[in-house]
Amino acid sequence: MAHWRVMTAELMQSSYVRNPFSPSDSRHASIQATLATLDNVLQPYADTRMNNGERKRNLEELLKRVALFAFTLFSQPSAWKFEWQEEHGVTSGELCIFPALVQVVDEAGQPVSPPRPFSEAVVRRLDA
Amino acid sequence: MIARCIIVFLFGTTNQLAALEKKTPLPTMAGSNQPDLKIRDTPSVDPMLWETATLALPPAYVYTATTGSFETQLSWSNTPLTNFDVLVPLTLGIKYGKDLTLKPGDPATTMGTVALSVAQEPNLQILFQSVVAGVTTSTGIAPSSSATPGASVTSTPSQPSASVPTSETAASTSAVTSGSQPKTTNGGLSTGATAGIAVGCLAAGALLAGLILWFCWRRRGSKTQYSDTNTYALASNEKGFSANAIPLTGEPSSAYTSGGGLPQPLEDKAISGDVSKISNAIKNHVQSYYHTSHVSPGLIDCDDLQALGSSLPISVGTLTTLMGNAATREIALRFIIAWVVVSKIQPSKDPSKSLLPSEVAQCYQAITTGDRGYQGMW
Repeated sequence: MAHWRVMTAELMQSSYVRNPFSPSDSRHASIQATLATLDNVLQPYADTRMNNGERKRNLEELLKRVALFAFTLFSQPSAWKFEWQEEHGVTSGELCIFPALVQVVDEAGQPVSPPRPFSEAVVRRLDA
Repeated sequence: MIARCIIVFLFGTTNQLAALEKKTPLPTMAGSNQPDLKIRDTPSVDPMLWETATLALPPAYVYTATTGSFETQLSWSNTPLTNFDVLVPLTLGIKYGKDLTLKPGDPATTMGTVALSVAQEPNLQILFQSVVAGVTTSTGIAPSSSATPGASVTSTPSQPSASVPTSETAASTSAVTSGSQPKTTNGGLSTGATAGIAVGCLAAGALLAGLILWFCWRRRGSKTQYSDTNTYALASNEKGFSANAIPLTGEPSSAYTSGGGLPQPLEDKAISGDVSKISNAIKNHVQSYYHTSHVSPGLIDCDDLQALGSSLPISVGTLTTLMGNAATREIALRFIIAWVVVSKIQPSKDPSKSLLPSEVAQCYQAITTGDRGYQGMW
């Protein structure tokens, strides 16, 4: 599986990494769909002093960055998982607003136990 | 009024010539108008011992009455002298060529044709620190047909040139006789030639070193370019692919080691750096483009929140509350964006719900169908 991923990603380098988001890039559709989904929720809170088109462009760039990173993770021989720190639920007065990325299978195909963290989760207190 | 010009040659290493001189002594020319020649013996015997010989051939010099100067041209065994190092006269030196002066202490001078000029004065001496005969006979120097074989120094007529004041030559005579130590020089390359060879060697060495560096740089540059095009950071070998450590397939190790087609995995830093960039981008986006003032509850559509995903860790109602509260709105918005994008980083059963290229998402879905162990991680 990892083998297939790495090889596929390597063969797709030219169209998805070196020249990303060309007009024929199939990710445009999913980015626009995601943008629409998010904007339905975010629109009411948009600051009217800011340019609305600029806000959408910023969000779109954010999604493109995420798409590139998704491909990067896909191209790795390791396997990964995002951990949402479920123990920091609303009941504890905290909320995890960005998950931690952990490596669950290493480059050699061996499971990593416990998973090796690559980034810290972001947890905020709900003081309100 | 006729001066005696005593020319003294010092020979440091040309012992062979000195020996030749001893075997065939120069004939002493009669007459007071013939300058005497002083040749120093082998330096190892006595540095202050001089042999005297007269110039072999008449006319040894040309006396110009209008300028009162005494001119001669010097040769060694019929070969014109080309390299001089003057010892005396001390201050004014001797004149040679066209208005050129060579003084004691000046670097040895190489010249094609030498015409020396000194003022007439009794007991006049010209002392050369070293003299080197040219390799080839210059044109314009008339060879002395009647030269005695082995004659060391000859003089032939030359064109008149400027004169040297008499007082100066007298002073220099005393200076020499009071015992200035003659220094020995070798008769090899001149200073200019030595410097030229040194500079040439230096330039050639620098050129060679530059070429080698250039080749090294090109080789390394091409390697760097290869890794750049793969956009993979260099990883250490132990972290890289080792066929022995990959039990996923039964491929022989040569597929990895000799093929080399697969790139190295990214460095840990690159991946964690990407994650934190995304997290920061979400934070900046929320802080830049959204306000914290009151929003009419009617504008908030719970269905839109439902569309974010079914497995939210908090209920839609709670999320709505958090978003309605100005203090927690930033947190809620950041959570929503992060939740959506993270869920789309992962391959999904539905290709439209992943930010991966559609062909990848579809293949992935086909491959992982029935392999639930890979769901949710990849």
